[in-house]
Amino acid sequence: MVQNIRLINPNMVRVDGYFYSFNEETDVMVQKADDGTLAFAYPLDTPISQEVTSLEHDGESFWTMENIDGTPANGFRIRRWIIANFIMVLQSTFTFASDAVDTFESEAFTVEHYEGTLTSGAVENTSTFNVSFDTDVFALLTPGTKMFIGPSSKSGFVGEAESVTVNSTGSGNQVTVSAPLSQGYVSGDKIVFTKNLWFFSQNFQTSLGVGALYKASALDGSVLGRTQGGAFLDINATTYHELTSFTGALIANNKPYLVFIRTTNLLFVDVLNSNLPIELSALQNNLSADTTEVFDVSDIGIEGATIFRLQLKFNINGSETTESTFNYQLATFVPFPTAIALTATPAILPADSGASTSVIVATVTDQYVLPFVTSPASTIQFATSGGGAGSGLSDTGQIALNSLGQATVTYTTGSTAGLVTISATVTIA
Amino acid sequence: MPLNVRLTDANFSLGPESGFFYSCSFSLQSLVKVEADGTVVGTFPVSKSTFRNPITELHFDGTFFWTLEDLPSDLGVVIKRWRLFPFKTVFFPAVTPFEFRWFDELTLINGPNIRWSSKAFAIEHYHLAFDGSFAAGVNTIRLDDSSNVSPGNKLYLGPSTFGGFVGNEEEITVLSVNTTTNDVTFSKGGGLENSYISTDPITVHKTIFLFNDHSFGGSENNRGALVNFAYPAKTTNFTDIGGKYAGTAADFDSTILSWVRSFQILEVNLTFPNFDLSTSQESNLVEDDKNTLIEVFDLISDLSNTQYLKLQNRETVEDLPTGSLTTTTFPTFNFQAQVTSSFVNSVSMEFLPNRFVLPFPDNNTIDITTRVRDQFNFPVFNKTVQFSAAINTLSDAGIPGTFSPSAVVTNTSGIAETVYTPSSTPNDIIVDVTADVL
Repeated sequence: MVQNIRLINPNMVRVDGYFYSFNEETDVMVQKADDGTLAFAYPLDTPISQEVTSLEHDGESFWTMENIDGTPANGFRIRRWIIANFIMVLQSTFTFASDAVDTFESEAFTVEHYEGTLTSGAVENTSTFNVSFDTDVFALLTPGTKMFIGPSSKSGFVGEAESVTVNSTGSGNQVTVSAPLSQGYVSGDKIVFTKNLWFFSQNFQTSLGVGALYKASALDGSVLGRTQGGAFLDINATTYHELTSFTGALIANNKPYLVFIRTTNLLFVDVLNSNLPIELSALQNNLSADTTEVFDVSDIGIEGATIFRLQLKFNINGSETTESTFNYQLATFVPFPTAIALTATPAILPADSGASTSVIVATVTDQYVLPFVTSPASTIQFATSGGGAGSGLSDTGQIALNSLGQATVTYTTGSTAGLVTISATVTIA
Repeated sequence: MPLNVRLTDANFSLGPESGFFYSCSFSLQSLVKVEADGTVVGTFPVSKSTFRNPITELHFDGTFFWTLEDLPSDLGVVIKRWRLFPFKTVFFPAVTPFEFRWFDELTLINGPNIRWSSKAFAIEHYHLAFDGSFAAGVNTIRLDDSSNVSPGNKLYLGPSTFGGFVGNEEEITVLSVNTTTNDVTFSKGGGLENSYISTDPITVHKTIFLFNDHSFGGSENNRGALVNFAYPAKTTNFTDIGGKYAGTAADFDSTILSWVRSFQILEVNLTFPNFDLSTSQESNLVEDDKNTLIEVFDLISDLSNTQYLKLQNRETVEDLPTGSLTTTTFPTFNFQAQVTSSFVNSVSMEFLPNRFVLPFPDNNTIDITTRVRDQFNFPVFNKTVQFSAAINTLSDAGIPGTFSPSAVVTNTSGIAETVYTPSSTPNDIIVDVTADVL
C-alpha cells in the first residue's frame, strides 16, 4: 500500500510543508500533513460544481482549474483564490469556453510566477524599492503587473504583507509602484509576482487531438499565444518552478521552468525564451513493472529538489499497487544513475585461451539521459561469468567514471566456448 | 465517542436543569429530558403545536427552547419558541412543568426568489443578573451588564432565590436603560411580582440567526447565506452571503455565534463591528480514511467550560500509543466534546534540499523542518518533537540514519529543526521519518 496524503481529488500543491487540495463535494480546500492527517480546512466562499483538475500556488494566491461542465471539450475555468479570514475567497474567474476559434480542453495549467527579495529596505508610505530579480525576469515587471510583498520582517510590521501594482521600473532593479506602501519592509523580505497562465490543451485552436500549449494573461485571462505540439498532448500535471539545485553540467539549467509530465518524462520548457524550447527531459518511474502501462500523474508539487507526483497507481521497487485515493510518489531533480549501457567490441570471440580480447565500455547515464558524472567521481565495478579457465577482465576493482560517465576494461578469452556474461555495478560517490 | 446521551433524534440542547440534556422526539411528540448516560428522566408532550417534521436543531436561551424544522411539502422552514409549562410564578408558586408549550414561531415560506433550506440556526441571547437585591413592587432594577439591553426588549427574570419567592419567574418589558448605572426601568402594574437577590438570572433574546443553504443571488443561489431576523418583530436585519455559511449545526453563547462548516467549527464574535471570523478550528470530523466528512447534527457551545459538544452518529478516535484511527457508527446520536483550548493537531515535515540521499556535492545530510500547529492552525510553542526513522516495508533491507539532535523544542513559530544523516547502507532503501510531539 502506498497511502500518504490520501486525497479524494486529483489536484494538489505543496506549500511550506503542507499539502493543499480542493474538494468540490464539501466545497473546502483541505490542508494535510504527509500522512494524510487533516490539519485544517478552508471553506470556499463560492461553491464549485466541477472537480478541480489542477491546483497551483504563486506565493500569494491559489489557482484552480475546473471544467465548465461534464463535457471537457466545452472548456474550463481558471480561478484565483486567497486565504482571508480563514476562508478561501474567490478573487477572479477566467472562463475559457470553446468557440469558433478555440476548442479548449485541458486538465493541466500552471502560473508563471517569480519569487525574489527586496535588496533594500522599503519604507512605509513610500513608492520605490529595489528587487533582486535577474535581468530577464526584471524585464517582465511591466506597468500594471501585480506584486505581492511580505511577510514583513521589519519591527512594527512583522508578518504584514500587501499587494502592489508596478507603475514603472528603473536602473538598479528599482521598482516604483502606483500607490505608497502601507507597510514597512527590510532587505531580504520576500516579493513575488505573477505574469502569465500556461495551460495544455488537447486541441490547437479547432484542430482536435494535436496538443497545444496556450499562454494567457494572469491579469485578465486573455489568450496571448498558442503553440502546437504533440509534446503538449495528454498532459495532466504541470507546475512552474525556479530550479536551483543543479550542479556540474546542469548548472546552466538553474532557472525558472514550466515543467510537465508527458507519459514517463518530466519535460522542462523555458517560457522566457519565445521559442518555448524543451531544454531537459527527466525520466520518471510512473511505469508498471512489466513496462506495459504508464501510470497517470494527476498533479505535481515541488519542494527543493524533490518532486511529488500525485498518482493512483504506483510501482515501488517492482511492487505495484492501486489506491482508492490520490497519493504522492517521490522523484528528484538531482541526477542519479538510471541506466548502464555495456558494449563489447568485438562482441563475438573465439575460445582461444587469451589470444583474443574485447574492449568493454560501460556508459552510465542519469534520468536526463546525460552522462552520470559526479565530483568526486563515482565508480563502477565489472564482473564476468562463463568463458572457462583463463578468461577474465583486466580490472575487477572499482574504476572511476570519466567525464563521459564511462569506464573501460578489457575482456580476455578463456578456453571454453559459450555465453559470457559481463555485468557492472555503479557506486555513487 | 462512547455512547452517552443515546438520542433517537438528531437534536439536543442544555436546559433549565444543569446536568441534563434535552431533545425533541418526533415519534413521541415530546421534549425528552435525559441524563448524560442516556437515561430518560422525563418527557414533556408538545402543546399548542406539533412537530410536523423531525426537529433539525434545538436551542435553549435560558428561558425558552427554540426548534427548527422543515415545513411539509418542501414549503420552507419554521423556527418555533417553546417553554416548559407551567412555570412557577407569584400567583402559581406550587406548580411543576408537565408540557412543552408552543409560544411563537417564525415561518419562512419559499418564494419565487427566495428558497429556505436550513439545518442550522441560533438565538442571539444574553445571560444577565441582578446587581443587588430588589424587592417586589419596584419598577427599576439594576443589571450587572446592560450593553445588550434596549427599550422594548423583554427580560425574563428568575428563577428567584429570594426567600418566599424561590423558583418564581416573571417577564418585564424594558422602558429605558441607563447604560452608565445599568439601571433598567419597566412598566408593570404593581411593579416586580417577586423579590430577587444579587446574581439571580435574567435572560434576554434579541435576534435569530438562520444559516440558509441558498443565497438568493441569482445564478449563485446555492452559495449559502446568514440571515438575521429581529425578534419579536421578525423582520430581516441583514443577510450576509458566503459559502462559509453552509453550516450543518450552530449555537450562540456569550457573544459568540458558532457553527459547523464541513470539517471546521467557525466563530463570529458579535462584539466586533463586522462579520469577520474570529476563529476557525479543525474539529475531528474526518473518518479513519482521512477524507470522509462526519456530519454534526447539532451543536452546544459551552464556552465557559471551553468546549463544544457535537451531536454525531459517527466518531473517529485515535489510539494514542499507535496513532491508528478507528471510525465507529452508532445507531443513536451521541455527543463528542471538542475543547476550545489549544492542542497539537498536526505536524508537517519539510525536507531540504531533497528527500533523496543521493550524490550530494558536499555532504549526505537532509535538513528537516517540522511545523507543529494546533486545531486553529496556529503554531504551537515549546513542544518537544522526537524524531525517529525506520525502514519502510517496501524497501530493501538496510539501516536507517540518525538525527542531530533527535529531540527538539518548537520555537515561537512552532518550528523544530534537525539534521538527518543517513546510514552507510549501500542499498537503495526507503526510510520512514517520524516526528512525534511529546
